[in-house]
Amino acid sequence: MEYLTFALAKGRLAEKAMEVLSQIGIDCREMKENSRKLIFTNEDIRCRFFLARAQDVPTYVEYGAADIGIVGLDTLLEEHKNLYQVMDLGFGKCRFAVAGPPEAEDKLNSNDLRVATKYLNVAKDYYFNKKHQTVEFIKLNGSVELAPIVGLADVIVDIVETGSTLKANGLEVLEEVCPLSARLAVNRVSMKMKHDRITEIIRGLKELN
Amino acid sequence: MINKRLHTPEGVKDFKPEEYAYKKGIEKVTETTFISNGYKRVNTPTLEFAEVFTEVGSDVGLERYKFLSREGDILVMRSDMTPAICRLAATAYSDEALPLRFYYIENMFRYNEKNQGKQREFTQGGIELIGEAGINGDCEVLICAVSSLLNLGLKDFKIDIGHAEFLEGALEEAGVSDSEAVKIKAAIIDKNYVKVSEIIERLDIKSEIKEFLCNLPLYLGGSEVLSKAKEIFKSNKALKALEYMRKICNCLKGCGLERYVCFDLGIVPQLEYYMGIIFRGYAIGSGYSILSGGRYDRLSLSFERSFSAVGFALKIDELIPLLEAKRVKVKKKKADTLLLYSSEGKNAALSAGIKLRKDGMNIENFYGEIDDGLKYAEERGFGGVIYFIDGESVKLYNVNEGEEVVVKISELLGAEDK
Repeated sequence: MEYLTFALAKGRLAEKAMEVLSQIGIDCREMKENSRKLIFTNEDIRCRFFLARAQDVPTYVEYGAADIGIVGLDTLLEEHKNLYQVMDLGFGKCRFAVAGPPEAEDKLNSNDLRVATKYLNVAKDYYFNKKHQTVEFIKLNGSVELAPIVGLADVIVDIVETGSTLKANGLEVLEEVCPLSARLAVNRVSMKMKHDRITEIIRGLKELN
Repeated sequence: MINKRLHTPEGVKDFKPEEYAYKKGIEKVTETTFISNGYKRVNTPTLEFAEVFTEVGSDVGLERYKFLSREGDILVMRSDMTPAICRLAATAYSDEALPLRFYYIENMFRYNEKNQGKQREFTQGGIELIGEAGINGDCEVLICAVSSLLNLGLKDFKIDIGHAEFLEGALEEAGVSDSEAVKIKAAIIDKNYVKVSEIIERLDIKSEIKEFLCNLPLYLGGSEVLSKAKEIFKSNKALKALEYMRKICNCLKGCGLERYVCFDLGIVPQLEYYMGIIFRGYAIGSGYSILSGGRYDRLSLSFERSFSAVGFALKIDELIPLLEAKRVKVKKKKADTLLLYSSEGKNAALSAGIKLRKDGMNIENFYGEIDDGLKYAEERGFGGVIYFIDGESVKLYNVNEGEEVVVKISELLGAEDK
């Protein structure tokens, strides 16, 4: 039997994913052992697992290097790869929001708004296609909250979980963009060629929810 | 900055002799399959008026190479052979000439996304069956599609068959409004089943149908999928499509090919002109589809005619790494021969070379000493070496066996005559 390969977004999401998968009989002892391995195998159930940077998970799945990917909707929206998004896994819940200092509120609908974000595609889709507003984007690679504080941008588009980081820096959520959670993504060919095994996983996970 | 003189543009590439030979080998096998099914090769121009491609409701507008001709017309480089062949059939053949069976193996041009590992100039080999409506035509083309992959030595593949009208009928039966249906179909094309479920969950429709639509990706498989759906749907349109797929299934079962196909009830046509069956081929080892096709009876209306048509295309470039990985040998390499001569043997060698090549041998000239020539032949995998000692006799070397023999030139040429 061919291996079924899982790509997991490194970090909390991967831990939670393995926890959920183990409930439907898919686990990997090798993964729990501390090792320098990059890929972990469970020969009994012919499954392989690897951890990757969240942004790279959709790429692995699109090319078929992984059959299944577990990754946040934020990454799927930003990367927009050609793959099946089959299931909302219900964990890793957070949201995309527009945030800034309270005084930015008045400027939200103006066309000279400057928006800083790590998620350029998501921000563009929100302003161009949903708000029909022309704004200026600034692409940053981390600590986006800094941008409004030091005057680089008026607002940010970012992931908000509890909002405590925002609060600590005098920022608040000004607009909600969309809710987010972890998703099960499947490669196009795997969906057809390994359909029975993948269906079984989807059914199993749906029953858990 | 790159030095453009040293590079090729995004999405196009060179083929070295051994790579090109492998690709041509795949094309040759494919061509043989098409010919053996009664298809005749056609060729259409690389350039067409944009109207040929755009007035048929296809959606690849942004993906085409287009430019203005000196005369001011918008021209496109062909991105897909189907509209061009349909134009040819519509303008050059009368109804009496039908059915027509055409095949092609040509390069297409499309702005495929950057960095996706996809080429922008790529080869497709395909067939179009024009004027054979319904089940006969559909089964013929599906069988030809399966055969073309089998003949290439592939076994681990599936052709995923759907019906353009099934989902249409299912959504109508559910009473989904047109605007919601558009959203659902867009989400399906986007392969975003989470979104499909979100839209469906909000709708007030029969629970059985709701359950079905929320679980579309699970409705993929053999004839049992068709039976399951038949219990849920009652409308004429949906049932007719299911019944049709059942017939296809029975036909393929009848010729022992059912294990290579599966039925997919969640297929939505991406091109407006598709109606009836739509199919795609997938193989383990390739992250992309390797074949696609379907029925497009409506397309001929764009060319002021009305005839049925069905066809498919193989994505040759996707097959190359797949077949290489499986070490499928598409063509036995004919061993080449190396030709050398001394200065006295030159004239005899060159004229004998002409004759031997005409007889079908592949001969490469070597300009140098015999020892160097033998080394060269061994390194590069030549089968034999012919050394013209003088105007009378030649020494023949069998590179693999390490044997050598001296014969008269007349014997050499005479032997080849037999």
